[in-house]
This record gives sequence, structure tokens and C-alpha cells, in this order.
Amino acid sequence: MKYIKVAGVVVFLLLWQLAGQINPGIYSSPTLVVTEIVRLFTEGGLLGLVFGTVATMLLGWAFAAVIGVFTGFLIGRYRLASLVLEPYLVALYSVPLIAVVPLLVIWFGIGQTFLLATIVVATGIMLVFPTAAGTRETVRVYDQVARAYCVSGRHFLFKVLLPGALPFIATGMRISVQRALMAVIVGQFLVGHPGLGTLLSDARVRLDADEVFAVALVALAVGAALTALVGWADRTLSAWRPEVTS
Amino acid sequence: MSTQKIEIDTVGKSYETGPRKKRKVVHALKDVSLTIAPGGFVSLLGPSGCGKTTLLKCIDGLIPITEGEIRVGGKAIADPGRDRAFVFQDFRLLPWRTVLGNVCFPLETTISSKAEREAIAKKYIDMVGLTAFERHHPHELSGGMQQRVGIARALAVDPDILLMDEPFGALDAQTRELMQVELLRIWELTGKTVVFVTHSVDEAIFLSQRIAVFSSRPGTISAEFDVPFAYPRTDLGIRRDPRFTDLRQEIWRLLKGDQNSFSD
Repeated sequence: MKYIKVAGVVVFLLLWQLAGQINPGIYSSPTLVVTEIVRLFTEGGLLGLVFGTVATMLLGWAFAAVIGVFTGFLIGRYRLASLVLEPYLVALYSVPLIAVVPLLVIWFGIGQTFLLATIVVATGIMLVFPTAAGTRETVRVYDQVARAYCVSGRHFLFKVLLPGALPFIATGMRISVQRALMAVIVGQFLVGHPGLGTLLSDARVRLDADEVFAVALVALAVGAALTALVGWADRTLSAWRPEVTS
Repeated sequence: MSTQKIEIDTVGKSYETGPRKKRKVVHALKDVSLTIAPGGFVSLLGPSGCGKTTLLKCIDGLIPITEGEIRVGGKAIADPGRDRAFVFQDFRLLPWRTVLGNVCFPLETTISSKAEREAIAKKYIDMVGLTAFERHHPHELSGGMQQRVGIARALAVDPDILLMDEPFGALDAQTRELMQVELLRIWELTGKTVVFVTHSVDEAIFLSQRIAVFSSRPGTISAEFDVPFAYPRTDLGIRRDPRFTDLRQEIWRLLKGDQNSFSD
């Protein structure tokens, strides 16, 4: 099976190279893309842009996690919070990110704050529902245990509720990491804040297919690395669970 | 001042159920009275849904009663307390903690020294025979071993009363018999008062001094039986004693009559 996959990739690259020979301006080609990646790293300052983009993403994602986990905990723990907040959260979950962007520009301008807000809106909601589910499940299973052993208040929160909900929160982090990266790149693309997204929009203006492919590939690599990192953190945090579903 | 450890005095538990316009009152428990002496071992026996687990949770204070009174050591109770500890049917261990961490769990609100907590926990882990496994997580243990942790956790708070809700119900037959012998050994060693919920007639007879048989709808105690065997009962041979089979038959007849009364 593995050979078939490798063969598939080789055939794809060959076909792409062939297409590139016919019209490099539109299709680019693997060799042109590799050359472009090298050029961007050596002359274009791509490394700095990658770090800047990832740093912004991580900061926004951290805000999103704090807000999302707190909100999720509230609606999971308190029925009143769930009744009041849930309709808005469901609406927010359903609305396309691009529809919120104009509002965020009006509120936050087109700088770093806008990018952070975009990430929070795009990913915070993805942590709310898993955290709420984890909180409810933990309360369902351990409420009587805690009460029977006179464990309440702060102790219940930190020794039962938080560790019990942690795997659910980790799942939320895992499913939102790609979206956080996408949100920051799209944000940069739309407002021209320096980063991977801006490279893409510049390349688009110059009709530079080589650079578009190069940046897309770098973004893909960054995304894959982040996903692997979060997956590893998830497995480590949930090591006590016999079956960790992927 | 009463000499009884637990006094259940005409206790009732009812709750409303169903959609808003067709609310029905369900009597989970009605007119239940029972007294248990200090150091006694009493089983609550009956079919599923007869209210025996509800009564056990009421004794712990996990579920409020709607009529009557439950007194522990002469004082009416409303909430869980440190004089009682609960052993759950499905163990309810904290899966992210080790065996040691699980047994330490109820001590963390009362004992600030970690070394002191662990010393107490280790004593009871040793009592249930799990010293070699104290660094293991629950999912690495068999069901029987997990329930040993559940028992150690209950003993760790040094309660007067152990409330056990079908603690061996989830175990296979062989493990179950082993655990019964183990429980009697621990009971004789610690002198706790035990209230033991089960739907197994054999288990109730083998373990208890006295058996309260429940009937359902509404849940109430229909009969009480004294078990004539002396302790220690480590010999499983008593299961072949004619008094054992007689008692078993008598209780079965009672339970069967109850089944028939509401199956038609």
C-alpha cells in the first residue's frame, strides 16, 4: 500500500512538471516552486514572516482557548448560562468567518488586534462546545462521588472538574489548530498585515504562480507541524485514558 | 440516646415525573423503617427498581428524603458526612489518578500534609491487597482490583459506616466470591457498620447478619431475616448447609411473590 502512495505522489509530481513545461506562468512546476521557496527563505525574509505569523496565531489561539474554555465551563456547569448563551454561540458557530470580518475591521482596525480578534472569533467557539460537553460529563459521573466524600467548591473545580474536562479541551485544541492558522493567514490576506497571507495577496497581484504555490506549501508544512505538536500534547495529557480516539 | 447506629424511621421518598400537565407522583420509598446496630452487617435485598439503592443514597445524604427521618448515631442527617463512606457499583474512580491518588482523594480536603495522606492511603491499599499496584492507573486494573481501590478509598476516611451499592455487581462470579470473603475479612478487621445493597440472595445470606427484603411499587421493606451463621464465614461450605438453602428458598419465594404481584 505504501508503495502505491509513493508512486502516486511521484506520478503527480511528474505530471505537474510536465504541465509546467507547457505553461509555467499558470501551472508553475515542482522545480520552480522549490527554487522559489529557497529564494523566499534566503532573500525574501520568509523565516521571519513564518515566525511572525505563527506567533500571532499562538497568541490569538491562547486568547481563544481562555475565552472558549471559560465560556464552555459556564454553559456546561450552569443551566442558566446555557439557556442564555447557547443560541448566540450556535449562531456564531454557523456564521462564515468572512461575514464577521468587516465588523472586526470596524471595531479593531487593520492591525495586530484585528488579527487576534479574527483568530478568537474563528477558534474560540470550537473550544466552547467540547469544554461544555466535558464539564457536563464530568459532573454527571463524579458529582455524587465528590459529594459523598465531602469534596466541594474549589477542590471539586481543580481536582475533579478540570482534570475530567481536560481531554475534551485537548480535543477542542486539536480540531481548532488548523483553523487558527487559516484565520491568521486569511486575516493578513484581507488587510495586508505582514505575514504569510500578505505574501499570498502580493503574489496574486503580480500573478506569480510560483510564489503562491511556494507560500501555500510552507503554510501546509507549518500547519502539519502544529497539528502534530497538538496531537502529541493531547496524547500526553490523555495518557490515563485507555483508548484515545484520533 | 439510642444504642442503634442507624435508625431509619418511617422514611418516604417521592418525586414528580412526566410532562408538565400530566405530572405523576412516584413513591420510590414508602414507610421504610429499619435499625442497624453498631458494627452490624445488614443487606438490602430486592429486585431492580425496588428503591434499595435510593435508600442507601438517602442514608448517605446524597438524595434528600421527603418523609420520616434517618438518624445516624442518634442525630438526624441531611447531607453526606465523614462518618459515612460510599462504595459505588461502577467504582467511580478518577481515571487520571493512580491507585494511591484515588485513595488520597477524599483526604485532600481534611489533611494538608501529603506525606500523612499517603501514609493513611497506603495502609488501606495494603489492607485490600494492592500495595504492588499503587502507582497503576485504574484502566490498568481488573474490575475486582478497581473495586478494591473503591473500598480502600472508602476506608481511608475512617468512617463508622460503609454504604455499599451492589459493589460486586459488575464483577464475574469467581471474582465476586473472592471479594465477598475479602469484604468479610476487612469488616471483621475494622469493625465498621456495613449496609450492603445487592440483588443476589446468595450474596446477601453469605455476607450479612440480617437481610431486609424489599418489595417494589412503592419500595418498602416486606420482611427481615436473621442469618444464623457465625463469623468468620471464610468457609464457602456454608452454602451447602441446609439452613442456608432453607433461608434461600424462603427469600426466593417472597421475591417471586412480589414479581408476580406487579407483572400482571
